[in-house]
Amino acid sequence: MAEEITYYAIIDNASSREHPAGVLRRTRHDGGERDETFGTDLKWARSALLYEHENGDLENKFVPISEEEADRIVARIRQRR
Amino acid sequence: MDRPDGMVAVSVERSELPEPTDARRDRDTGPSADRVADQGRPLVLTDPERRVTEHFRYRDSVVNHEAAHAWDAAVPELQGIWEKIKAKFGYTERSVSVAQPTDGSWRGEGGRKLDSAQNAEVDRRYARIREVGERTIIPGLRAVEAEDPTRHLAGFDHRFKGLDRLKEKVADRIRTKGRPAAETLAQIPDVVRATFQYNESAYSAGVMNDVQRLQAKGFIQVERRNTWESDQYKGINTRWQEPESRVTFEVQFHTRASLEAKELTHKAYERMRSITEQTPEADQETSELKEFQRRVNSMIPIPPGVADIDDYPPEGH
Repeated sequence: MAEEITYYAIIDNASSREHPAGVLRRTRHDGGERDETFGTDLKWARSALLYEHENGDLENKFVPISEEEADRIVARIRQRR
Repeated sequence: MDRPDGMVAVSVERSELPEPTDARRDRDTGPSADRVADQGRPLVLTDPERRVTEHFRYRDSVVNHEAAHAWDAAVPELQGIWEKIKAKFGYTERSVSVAQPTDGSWRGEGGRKLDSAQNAEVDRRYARIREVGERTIIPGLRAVEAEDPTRHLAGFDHRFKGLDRLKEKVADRIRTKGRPAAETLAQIPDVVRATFQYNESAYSAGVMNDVQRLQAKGFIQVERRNTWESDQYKGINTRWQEPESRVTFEVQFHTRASLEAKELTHKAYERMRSITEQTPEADQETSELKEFQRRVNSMIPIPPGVADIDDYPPEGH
């Protein structure tokens, strides 16, 4: 399997689909998978948020988005710094 | 079959399996005046209503027993798989303690950190949430538990999230969402949490009965998520608010098997959460941990009627 990346908008009770709380990407490849969020340190770093959701955590929802939309969220995080 | 005395003999269908403990206990403690042949077979019941009750009671006890039997038979193999994963990736049981700075800030595993102001804010709010939990939320949950002896609160020792685990969550979220510590903590629903555990046959009706009981106690249901179709975690998790303090708490609804599965996969889940390396080896380890969780969850018996329990609020609201 070639590398496959899915982007997600992170939405909680204090955010919305239009103004998500953050962005996560899940990368799948032949050898495994990795989740990363783009943080206030302006880096993609490993994150457990989606695993927590998959294990029953109620705090966040994850909505699949396009790479372009993910780029816009990343740009907004960069602007906030 | 009809009898000359007007009574009706009912043959209650018997399973080839040994009689379930629940059925024996129910018989031992329940009313028995109409049970003409309690030790013999078939049972002869004189009251039509009692016949129906007995039929459903027996059917439920068989459902419970067969579910427990299938799960119990799978557990040793699943434990063996986990032992192999532990050996492969070199997991040890020792707990890791991170040296704490003396300036009031906090340090956690994987380079997580809170500055001294954030750390003090979390400490202060955590103490307040625990106080509300002990004074109002936990007594309310105990009162709901007392309304029905057929299920119980499980894992009560874990009714408060550990402070270091909470700080890890806060640190992760501050990095991803960029909000202050107080706002971040307000979004975390499970600092106070409880778990109701049911028999398989009583699960679906029992969950909805307890949702209504919690509402009758004045708690506000904020969210309910049915994840019985998930391959990673099976159960129903709900988020509630105590109206006066506005403190939120979590109530989970499990069967014995789904709760034991959660416990069996807990170390795998903990490990998935703690991996911070961005390496191919870490990616492979993550996939194997998820596959283990998938395997465990595939063995959990699904309670009858659980698909009819909707999420709340409904999607789109």
